[in-house]
Amino acid sequence: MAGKLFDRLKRITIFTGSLGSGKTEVAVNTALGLMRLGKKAALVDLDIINPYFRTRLVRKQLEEMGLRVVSPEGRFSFADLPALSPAVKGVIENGEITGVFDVGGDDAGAVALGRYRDILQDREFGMLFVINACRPYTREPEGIIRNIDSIQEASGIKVSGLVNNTNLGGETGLDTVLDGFSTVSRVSEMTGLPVCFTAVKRDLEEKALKALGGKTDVLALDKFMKTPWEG
Amino acid sequence: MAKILMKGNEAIGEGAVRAGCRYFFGYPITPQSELPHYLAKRLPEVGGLYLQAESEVASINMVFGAAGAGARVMTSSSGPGISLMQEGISYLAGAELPCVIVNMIRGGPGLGNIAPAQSDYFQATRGGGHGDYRVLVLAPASVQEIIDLMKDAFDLADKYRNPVMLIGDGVLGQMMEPVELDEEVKPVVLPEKSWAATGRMGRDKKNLINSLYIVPENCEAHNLELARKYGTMAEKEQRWEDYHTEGAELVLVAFGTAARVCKAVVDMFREEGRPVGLLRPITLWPFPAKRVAALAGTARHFLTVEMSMGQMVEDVRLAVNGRRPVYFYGRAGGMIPVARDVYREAGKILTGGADS
Repeated sequence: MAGKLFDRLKRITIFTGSLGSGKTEVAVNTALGLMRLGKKAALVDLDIINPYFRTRLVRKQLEEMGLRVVSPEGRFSFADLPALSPAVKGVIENGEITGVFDVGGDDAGAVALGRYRDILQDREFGMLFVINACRPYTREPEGIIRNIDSIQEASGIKVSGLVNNTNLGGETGLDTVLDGFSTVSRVSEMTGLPVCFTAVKRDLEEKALKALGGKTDVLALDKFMKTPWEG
Repeated sequence: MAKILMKGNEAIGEGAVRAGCRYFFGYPITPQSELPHYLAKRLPEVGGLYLQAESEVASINMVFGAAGAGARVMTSSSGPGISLMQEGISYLAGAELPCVIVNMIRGGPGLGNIAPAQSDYFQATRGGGHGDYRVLVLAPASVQEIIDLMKDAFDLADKYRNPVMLIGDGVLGQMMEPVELDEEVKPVVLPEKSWAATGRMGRDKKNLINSLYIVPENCEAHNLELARKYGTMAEKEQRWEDYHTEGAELVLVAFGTAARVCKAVVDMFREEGRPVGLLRPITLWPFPAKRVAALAGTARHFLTVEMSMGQMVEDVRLAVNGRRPVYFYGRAGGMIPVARDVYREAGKILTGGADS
């Protein structure tokens, strides 16, 4: 269903966004989607700022599903150190791998990308900015654009598209997603950046497709970042 | 009203702003750094001041200064930083200064790690620093409750002229939940502080902010006055949440993150029609001893669940006072109790196969 969406992605897709915008869930689900289409997909964890709720915590689960995960190894995975795996460069340089990058939030997190700016410039990549319009400081287009600017400045890389990931956690309804889409569309008009897709939890996929069909692709999300009391 | 998806650490900051706090002094430490990150942006928007101090010792003494001048002020840290602040917290209590201190607890002792824990319960509820004093301790279990309790934290600090500590851990700090907030920050009318050092302004006497009482008789009188105040707090400020405790044969006792896990455990038992409930202390000091004592009249067993090797369980045993067996289950060092493990422990107690 989302095949069209994946066809439009470049060989390397970098997800950035504000703190708590849902980059990790979007990145994990995108990488799994690419893998299921038969691509040699690798998910790269570049989150150096938030030691909780990041990709490496579900690494084992993802690897059991067949996805390659690149993140700091062993005991370093629990450290709040700005440590990056040497394998990251390999993903960028190997033309056979489809890479999905999960970058830490805000400009502070985007700094880690600067390390790879030079080798990225010669390759086919896209940097998508994930937006949750229910989060503080990204509820209005002006705040979102300020954040895009600061992330571009910190990473030295230009954002090439937008992702609407507007949600209220467990209280997300279709209205939440549609309100978010209208905010993200305004950002698109103001910046000229395309809205690449809208991400919704799986049980809202059909409704979202019906309401937004034709205007945006829809990516259904399975939740990986869970609190200890969620099943 | 607007619904916003917030991290717990951000909610502490926004809750403080809504409560009229305009001063924050602190030093970064995981897992609470989103809070200073948030307030560094947020406080200037409302005419407030965010300052990163050179250390936790400096932070708490800046809090002392601002509180002495009558301001609503807060600081935050995690275990190691809170340990460094203990001298200052004792001075604040001794000088009867209101402030709010946040401890997002991490695995310990020593440097430990950055993973979630509840092992600073003793430090928070027994004073922590030197001398005969108490700090009122609040333990939220959701992001909305954090917002609500921040207002109460500042009000209680002013009411009793005493430090109030809000404790949580990295899970509460970093997870996101929807909260209800007014679109606008409403002006907060602060209580009059006739004791604050704001200039003499024609008064007969100088206002002194002090915890030095050289003459033992005077220092004892000060201690008696503080003890009277703590007695009032213990009597009037106990807070808790009952979750299916009515008719419960086994009552789980847990706070914060551990209480969220225990709610899931209670739901598992209730689905099977088995009488298990949860008492969730919201104030850790004063501990809700009244409610535990009342439940000891109806429940047959208690199981305390903590992210430590057993600290609050001592308060549960004091309140139960030997009338019922009190069992303990804990994980430590940054590990979180898993619902199915707690369920198994509780199941053993219900069927008579556990050692207390």
